[in-house]
Amino acid sequence: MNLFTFLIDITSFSLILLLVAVGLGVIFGLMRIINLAHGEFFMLGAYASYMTVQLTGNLWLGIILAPMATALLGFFLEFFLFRILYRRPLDSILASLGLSVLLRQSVILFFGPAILSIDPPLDRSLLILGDVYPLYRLVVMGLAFLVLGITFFLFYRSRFGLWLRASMADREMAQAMGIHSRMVDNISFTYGAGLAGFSGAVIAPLITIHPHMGTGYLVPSFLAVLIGGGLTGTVVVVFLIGLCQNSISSFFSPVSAQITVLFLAILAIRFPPQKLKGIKWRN
Amino acid sequence: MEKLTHFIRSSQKHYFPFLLWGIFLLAPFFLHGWALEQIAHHTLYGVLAMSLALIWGRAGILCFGQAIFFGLGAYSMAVISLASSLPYASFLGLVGSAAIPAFFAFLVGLFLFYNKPRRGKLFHSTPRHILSGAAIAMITLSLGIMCERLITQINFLGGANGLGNIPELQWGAKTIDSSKIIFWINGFTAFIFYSLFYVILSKRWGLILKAISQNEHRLQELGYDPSFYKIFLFVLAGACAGVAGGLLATQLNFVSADLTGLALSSEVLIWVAIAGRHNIILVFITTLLLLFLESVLQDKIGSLWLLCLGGTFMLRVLIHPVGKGFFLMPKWPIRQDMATKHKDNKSSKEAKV
Repeated sequence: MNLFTFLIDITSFSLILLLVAVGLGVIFGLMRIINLAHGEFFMLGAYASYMTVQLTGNLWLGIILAPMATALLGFFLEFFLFRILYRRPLDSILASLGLSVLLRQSVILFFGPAILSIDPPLDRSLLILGDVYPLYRLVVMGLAFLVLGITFFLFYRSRFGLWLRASMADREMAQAMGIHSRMVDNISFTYGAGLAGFSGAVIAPLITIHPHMGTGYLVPSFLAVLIGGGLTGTVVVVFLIGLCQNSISSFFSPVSAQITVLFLAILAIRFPPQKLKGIKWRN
Repeated sequence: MEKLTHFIRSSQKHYFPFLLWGIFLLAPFFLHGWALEQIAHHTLYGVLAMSLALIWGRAGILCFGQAIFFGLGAYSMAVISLASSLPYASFLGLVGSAAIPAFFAFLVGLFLFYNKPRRGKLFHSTPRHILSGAAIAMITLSLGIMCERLITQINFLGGANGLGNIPELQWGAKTIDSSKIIFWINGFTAFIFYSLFYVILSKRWGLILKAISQNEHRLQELGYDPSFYKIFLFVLAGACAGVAGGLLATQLNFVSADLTGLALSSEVLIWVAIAGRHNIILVFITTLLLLFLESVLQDKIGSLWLLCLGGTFMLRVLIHPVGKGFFLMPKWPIRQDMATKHKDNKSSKEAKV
């Protein structure tokens, strides 16, 4: 393995993680909801694309349909469930834990607890600096990059993004300025769920699909949100986590990489770095 | 006469849980076979739930990794009773299954709650060093996942396959295998822990713990040190969960990394939350009922059970914020003067956010 493919690996993992983390971060920043069911949107996206492949044989259709399905689910969940939990972090942890159990068990009921897989659609490899690299991984990276670009454009260069950032900064003041915060909440929750569903659908052919796959992505992206604080901080921390996890898993084993990341995260929550403007962990 | 009726009324309130315990411990005379064995196992999970109810219900610390201590107790018991050829292996194992999780809980408590002492004052902390409830929840959650992964990596503990062939409890040279006696061992363990919690909570400590859950800063300003009480509580709950895990290891004859994992931790959390987390005896009874219902319905509805449990839990949190008693039931106060009404709960919640 040369340095270049190693860097590509880190980047593609981090981009997928970032897609999950952006949705989480926006939900947390806006409504102070810690959504443990966000990993389940990721898992549902993967299952939706699996189902589309089974029915039509076309993964690209799955990649388009899966985020729509999870976004629809997110819309209804926000409308009926999460709006009750605004500004109650502890209750939101508990309720979303119940929700994640519920979603996971319904997936087990429909698809069974077994591990599923999808064949990668582009069965070719490229030679990059003397190393063989599968084409589909590069496509995943490109797609993730594209969606992230759209997301950041939406957040930083559009009217909606202005409303969103205003509501995150000072909700009451934003409302006084005539911004419909409830609508912003709803749209951003829906968008976040769609992003998680998209990342699940895109990454599905590269990993195994099983009902517990959400946790593996939820925990690191959470840590990124909690440590990073704002959107830019999240991006930095996600790439650090990606670097850490990939380098340790290539030198030792994937499990020890997860353990290290979790350990670092525990330390970071307990002793938050002063420079990175994290969320208020302390009363 | 009035005094007498008052005494009877108050004693009913006081001794009602103990009456329930008496009935519960007489169960082997009515039940036998499969049901008795099932209830004996469920009792141990009930002890785990009680230990969580102690720290979450009383002190308001949401611990997402209570199963860590349970699994650690089970592994300590397994390793000690498999490794040592001593005559008192099972006794040593029980001691180990209490001591090792308690020590680990001490370390975790120290990590979470200990603050840098101010000049000249050990164990006195400034309010800004108190972690918020959500942070503690996230740290214990990560810790639970970490422990589960770590155990699957250690060959000495059987790795992902777990450890099997754990000997049963022994009295001298005799193996205890009668299901009645096993039930009584588990039942009395639960009863002893309940009594211990009862004594602690009905003394001054109960009040301090309640104060920690309601307004920690004010307690600090009154000169108490919350971190000391919280660490002590963690150690107690850790030992309690560890003993339950150790007993379960001898009765299932098998331990695996699942016992420390997130799945069990969240299930315990669900039991405690459905029971309303404050009342320890209610938590125990609810756990037994839910687990018995699960073992009865397992063949018929399978994974639909956990779905229903998750849904119930979610609705429970949404409709009726956890910590305000059972659905419509009044709380059974442990002592009348401690049963503070949660009138100003709302304002303190807003203040926390």
